[in-house]
Amino acid sequence: MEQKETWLEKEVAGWETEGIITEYQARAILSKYGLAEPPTSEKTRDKSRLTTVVSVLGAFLIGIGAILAVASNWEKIPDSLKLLLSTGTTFATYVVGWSLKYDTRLHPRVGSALLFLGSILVGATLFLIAQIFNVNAGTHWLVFLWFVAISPLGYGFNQKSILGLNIFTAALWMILYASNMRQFYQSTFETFMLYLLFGMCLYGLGQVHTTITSYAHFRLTYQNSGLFFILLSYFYFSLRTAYERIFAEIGPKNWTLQLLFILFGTTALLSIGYTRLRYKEFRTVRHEFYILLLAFSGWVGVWLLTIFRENVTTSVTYGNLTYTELSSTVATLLFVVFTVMFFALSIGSILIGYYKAVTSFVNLGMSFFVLGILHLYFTTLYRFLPRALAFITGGFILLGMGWYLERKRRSLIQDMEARHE
Amino acid sequence: MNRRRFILMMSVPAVVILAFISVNLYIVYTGQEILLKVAPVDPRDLFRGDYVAPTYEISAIDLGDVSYDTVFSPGETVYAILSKKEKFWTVDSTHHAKPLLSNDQVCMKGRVTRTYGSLVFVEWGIESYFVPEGEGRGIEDMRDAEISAIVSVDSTGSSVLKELLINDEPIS
Repeated sequence: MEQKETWLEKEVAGWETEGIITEYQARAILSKYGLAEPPTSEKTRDKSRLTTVVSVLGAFLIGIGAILAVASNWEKIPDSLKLLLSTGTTFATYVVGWSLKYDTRLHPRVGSALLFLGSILVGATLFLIAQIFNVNAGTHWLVFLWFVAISPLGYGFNQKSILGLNIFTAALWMILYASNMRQFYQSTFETFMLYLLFGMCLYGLGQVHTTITSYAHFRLTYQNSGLFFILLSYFYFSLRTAYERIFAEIGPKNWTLQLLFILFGTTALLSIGYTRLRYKEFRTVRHEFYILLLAFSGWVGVWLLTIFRENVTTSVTYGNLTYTELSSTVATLLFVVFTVMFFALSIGSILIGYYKAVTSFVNLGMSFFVLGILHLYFTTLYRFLPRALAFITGGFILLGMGWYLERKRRSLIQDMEARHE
Repeated sequence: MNRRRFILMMSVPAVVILAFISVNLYIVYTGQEILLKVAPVDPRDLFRGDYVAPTYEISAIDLGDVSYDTVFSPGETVYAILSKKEKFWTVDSTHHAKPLLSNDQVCMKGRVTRTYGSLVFVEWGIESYFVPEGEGRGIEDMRDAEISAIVSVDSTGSSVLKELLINDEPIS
């Protein structure tokens, strides 16, 4: 019997991966054999989703308000009282949230929102302590502490919003850490190299979650974030500024950054390997495999460029100032190559979304595609036209593209939905 | 989820918050207080509001004036021995490892941010002093006043900025 159950769980996970059935249908099948909680009906699900969105949005606004209240640093309240209020509110929010979601189960969705709010308030409390003890502004490890403090809670409370906050704090810490080593602007090249691997790592984690039944719903949180970071990094690498202004100024990386590169690089390679294995089993995974391979090959290219930086840059002296510069031909070549890769990845994510019936992938791919077109327009076509004409043409292009892409997006989503009915 | 598991999970943020408070309280209550000379400016932190960013005399160390073991590079940890002169504490020597101290000295740990000739620029972790919203600018405008800082330094070299003084009077 147990063997049959495991077989069914595996099969259902496979069907969901292939896009044959939706997450809702997968849960319905599993619940029939007592292997999962029964899913709510479509109508109830829509209402529940609205409740969740409203509650989480409310929690988010309160959380931001709390952080801003900390920032206003009211001198009327003594530090000890401020600390007591902040810590008390944080843990009281958690207790009420837990009670509503798990103990009394009266309002599970509001409970979830409060647990999410508690996780934001942990950050506000840490910022308050840092303020009281005058810890340096912009200190990266404060965000890291926040990440550590809430890291087990996403899985503990089985909640996507907290997992999302965890991913956000990790990404924020990385950018703060890299910019702490040098200036923010100068550190962006390393940051986006790191983000690219981080994105692949997240995407891979999402794939692994399809096989873990109790956390299968985390798949999309990981994969959406992963795809976002991959596309964002490629958008950055498709900017000429990245090569002309920043690349030449890259400094030596410290051991923490190198360790992160090794960690995320290894995980990214494992993700590609894992996708390759699944590709043999499920044909629909092939798009994911190609996307990850393309993303990683671009990273290898950028990494090789940093290794052989001295071969492609020249030293320029301007007055008393000496700086290094990447030759214009190489910069143009890199701009073209990475722009092509960026568009290929954007279209690729639309394709994955289409074949796997994931609307968010289609939306992400479309958004970055539009961003890429806008960037190309303002960096190339704009230069060849008089300013007024350029704006008018740009406006028409945007309106036309907006109309066409929205039509295309809707037809894709309708098509995806039709395939599942 | 049962109560026990919930309490277990809550222990993680609780430990992080308590540890953070304890480390800072330890420095404040066990560390030696020293007085440093300051020149302020007024930026704003996204999460924590207005603050004064004090630049200390010890933020730029001229290796031509103090003894040192070997030259420093950006990113390296620097240990500086300070002793009290007439009113303020100033740097006597700089090291790559924590040196032995006499009774009238303290050792501060910092990070080299950049170097310029014999000058070594150091971040000590005490470069922000948080003030109520809108008050930072007022402090910045007091350019003629003598601004100093009371800093607590513990035995490991970690420091906490306790208070800023304007003409020897506390700001708050």
